[in-house]
Amino acid sequence: MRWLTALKADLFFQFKQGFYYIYAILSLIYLIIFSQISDSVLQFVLPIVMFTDPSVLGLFFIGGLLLLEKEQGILSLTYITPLKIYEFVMSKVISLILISLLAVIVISLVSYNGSVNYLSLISGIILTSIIFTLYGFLIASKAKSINDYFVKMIPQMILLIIPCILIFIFPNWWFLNIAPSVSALNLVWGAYHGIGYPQLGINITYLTLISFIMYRYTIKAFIKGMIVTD
Amino acid sequence: MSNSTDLMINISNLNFTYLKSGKHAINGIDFSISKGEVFGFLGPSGAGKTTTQRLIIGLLNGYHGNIEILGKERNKWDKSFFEEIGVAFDFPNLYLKLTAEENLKLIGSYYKNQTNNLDELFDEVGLLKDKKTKVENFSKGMKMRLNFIRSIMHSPKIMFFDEPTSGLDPVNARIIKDKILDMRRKGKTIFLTTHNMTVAEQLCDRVAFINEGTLSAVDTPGNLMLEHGSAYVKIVYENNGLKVNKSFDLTSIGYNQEFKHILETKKIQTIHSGEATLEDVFIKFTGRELI
Repeated sequence: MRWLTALKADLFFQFKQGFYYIYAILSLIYLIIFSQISDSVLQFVLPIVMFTDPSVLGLFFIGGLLLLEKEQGILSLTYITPLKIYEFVMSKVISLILISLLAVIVISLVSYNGSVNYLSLISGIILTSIIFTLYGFLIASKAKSINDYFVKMIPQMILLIIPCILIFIFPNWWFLNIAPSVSALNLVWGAYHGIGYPQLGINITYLTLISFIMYRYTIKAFIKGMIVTD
Repeated sequence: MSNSTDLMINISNLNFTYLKSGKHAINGIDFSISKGEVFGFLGPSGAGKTTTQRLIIGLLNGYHGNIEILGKERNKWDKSFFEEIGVAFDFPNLYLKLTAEENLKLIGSYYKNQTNNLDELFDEVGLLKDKKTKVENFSKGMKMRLNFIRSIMHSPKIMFFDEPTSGLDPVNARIIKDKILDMRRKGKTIFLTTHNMTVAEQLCDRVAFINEGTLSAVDTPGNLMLEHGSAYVKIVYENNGLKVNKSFDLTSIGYNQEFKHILETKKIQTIHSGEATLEDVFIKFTGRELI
């Protein structure tokens, strides 16, 4: 249960760094804007916002967190404790899932009156958050500073987002669904527009598989790039 | 020397080359450290002190030779290894936005062996009244002291300290040195890397000299100074109203006619004997100064 201790530590650290204030303010801005928009428009706006929240913010936050910890020597410190690397990665991922889920559910419940498939929404948010956070870990492993992280992250983020834009323009380009970001968007979009169980199952299975592969790769890259050198 | 069952660290034919730079940083070194020993690893910057320490801790991989620690090869250990050791780098690794107490509670929660009395630890290093202060408001010396107790709070068997008194004023340096000696009395093993000769002379049972990745001597500071430094006798006397300083080699002092003559005929003001310092011996071995 050491990962739970690490999770508590991460939540505490993120709170003390002021991350949650930023998140609360952003969520409040969303709520104010959405209160002025009708449900028929929200049905299109909300899934896009719900999707960008864990993905974009996940990428931004994890880079900030990791490089902040690196600069303060916390990464080396964490390495010389019995905390295992997978527990470290897992607690970071879960902490960002929790914050995203909380924000998304509150915004959705407060601002939208239409029907929502919460299974699709929650699984979409969780898997989007996992994939984008792990992706952030990979980029951070190669970054020298916070600025360097953002320089490296932005082109990668555009690369992930472009297929999401293309699928709206060319819905028949089925191969775009191979992009994990599109698969994740399918779940979040489906939560507000309806999604069949087969499609729900396929997307969840595919993203779970991608998450698992990324997780294995991230652990190795993270140790090599950020902590242990050879 | 203790017997082999007391060996806590045993290094043999250790070699290490940095992949990126291709620098052969450690060149076939051998040494062992017994239980309850304070072992000083001395050398100038870039000599290989920190590399050796990082290899033993596991922050560097890809070594050749053997690093046996607590009876097991280093690369066979899992993360439970860190329940057994405590590490304080020369750079204090702490959560700056948290208070001193929050830091210790948070980091301490990762260990099975958790201390029940943080206040006692704070008090021992003079930080009790500052325990609720955020670390970002600490001076370098305060951070170093907090970093020190952070590394020992889970009662490890072996401690690794990198320049533990760096940035401390004499009073606080004394507190840390006393704490290290107290831990030795309790049977803890301490691996200390430093370029501070005074610290090494005061604390270490044995020291190793490292320079350009090679060990040139491993012995007690006393033996090294006696065997490799030349002791002397310095005499100050009056000669025709003038003050004269003269030094003589201690080993042949009994046969030195000039020395005898001065003692018999001159008015002696002061007479002192002196030994070579550890730094003198280091320079003799390596040809480099400890900077």
